[in-house]
Amino acid sequence: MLLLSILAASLALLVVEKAFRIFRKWKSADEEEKYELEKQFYLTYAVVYIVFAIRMFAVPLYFWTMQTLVPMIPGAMCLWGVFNTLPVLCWSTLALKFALPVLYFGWLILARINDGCKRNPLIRNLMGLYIALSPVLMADSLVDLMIFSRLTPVQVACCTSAIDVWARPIPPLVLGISSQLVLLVSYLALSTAYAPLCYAALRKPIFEWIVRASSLALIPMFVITVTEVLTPWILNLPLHHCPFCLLYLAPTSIVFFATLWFSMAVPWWTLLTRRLGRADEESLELESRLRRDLWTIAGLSTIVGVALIAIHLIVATT
Amino acid sequence: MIRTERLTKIYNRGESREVVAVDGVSLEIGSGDFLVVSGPSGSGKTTLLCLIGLLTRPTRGKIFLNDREVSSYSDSWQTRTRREKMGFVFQQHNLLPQFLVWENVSLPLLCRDVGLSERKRIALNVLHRLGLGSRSDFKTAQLSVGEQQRVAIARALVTDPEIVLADEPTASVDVETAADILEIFRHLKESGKTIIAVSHDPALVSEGDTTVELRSGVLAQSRRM
Repeated sequence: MLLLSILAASLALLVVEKAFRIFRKWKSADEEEKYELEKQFYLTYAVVYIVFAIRMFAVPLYFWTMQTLVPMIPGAMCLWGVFNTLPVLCWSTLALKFALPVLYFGWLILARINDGCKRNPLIRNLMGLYIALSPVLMADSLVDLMIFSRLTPVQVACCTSAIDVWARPIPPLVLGISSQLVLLVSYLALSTAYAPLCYAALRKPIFEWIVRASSLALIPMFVITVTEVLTPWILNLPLHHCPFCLLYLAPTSIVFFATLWFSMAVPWWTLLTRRLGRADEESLELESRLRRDLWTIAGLSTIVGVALIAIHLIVATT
Repeated sequence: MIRTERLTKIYNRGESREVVAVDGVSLEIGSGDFLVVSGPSGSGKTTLLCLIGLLTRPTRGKIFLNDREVSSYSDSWQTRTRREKMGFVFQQHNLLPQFLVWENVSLPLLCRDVGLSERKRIALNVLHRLGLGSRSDFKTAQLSVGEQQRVAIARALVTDPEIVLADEPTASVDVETAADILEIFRHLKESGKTIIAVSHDPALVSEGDTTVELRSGVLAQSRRM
């Protein structure tokens, strides 16, 4: 992790200046200058590709490395405990581990459109987006560096004493019905509705915004459903709510986390491609085709995610 | 098939050493044509060939290939176009001395992801056609200059390109080998390949369907045979 973080941060820093030069000069350059800039772009592009690939690979590696540290931290029984060794840094950056890959992958999608075009129409947008992302990219690498260089085996409180003893964020009953059941049914119903919305977004752009708004609503709802319903039910531990324990003790749940992450990310990728991926006729055509594919896969992955949740619950209760 | 529109190439632009190598050249080369570009040294012949072969980018003007404007294509797309449609014969052969003859010939196929046995089969086939079958397992440094030039031609033809571009293919060989090379070009012409050759050699010039003469980068004369 340390080596990858250093490598990613160094490479990211190395090409920022080149990216800035290409971004600044591209618009006013004539054909010959563009040819020279293009040559620089290929090198920069390759490096950026590697940096983003490293950062995306670093996400599962981050959680896996943290998991391997569990036996070394007194009091830790899962990732929750390990995170508590450096609570401010680890907890405040946890959401970024899921959000930043959306941006990185978005850049790679734009690069894919550019690759498919004959005249590199997205060079400027790609370099501009990279410049905008580079501080985040560096911060992401530096956070990992700070975490792994400062982790010490201090005594920590783990999930059972930290999460389970507190009052639950949902009431036990809603109109006489178990609120866990209400929450689960609501989440599954909304997610199931999300899939046809993705297909509707294929046809009418207005639905794209509805899906984006839905994804924003579904993200916190998913988190609450996982902690309040899925973890205790799938693990058959009615009073245990730690999502890290769910991922560790029922590792197949990683698959529905991943598919749902993907379906939540697609609306934002399509926003990115709509804004930055349509520079000429050819890129417009490619972008439209790619966007259609993304929406289709988003719909499918939502259905797969919901189905996997249902299967997990059925297996756990039988 | 190939059309150039007011093609201009300026080296060291804006500097005191500025050179206008090609100046406003407009050409039209049909499919299966044999075009020979002649002219004195430094007249811009090789630059014109490099421009048409998409090896360098024009300062001004456009290049059309099958009615598609390819001069503004990205470098990666131009590379793909070169790989799929063109074969090059360079004046200095540009063979790799560490490799065997058939390995040199098969190199362009490597870029097309052709498997090793298939590469060797195709390369040997082309070498046999050019009378170099017995030299296939030699290192290129062990060959005469004339044979090296023929190996370079074999390498250009191994992908069966639509267009063959040759830069002074007979300049560094003796009269006998030059005649052999001319024979090869005659066969290529008969097989319908589009050939663009740069040459001083009157024998090669007389083979062309069209001859254009460059002077100081400007198209001075164009003759259709």
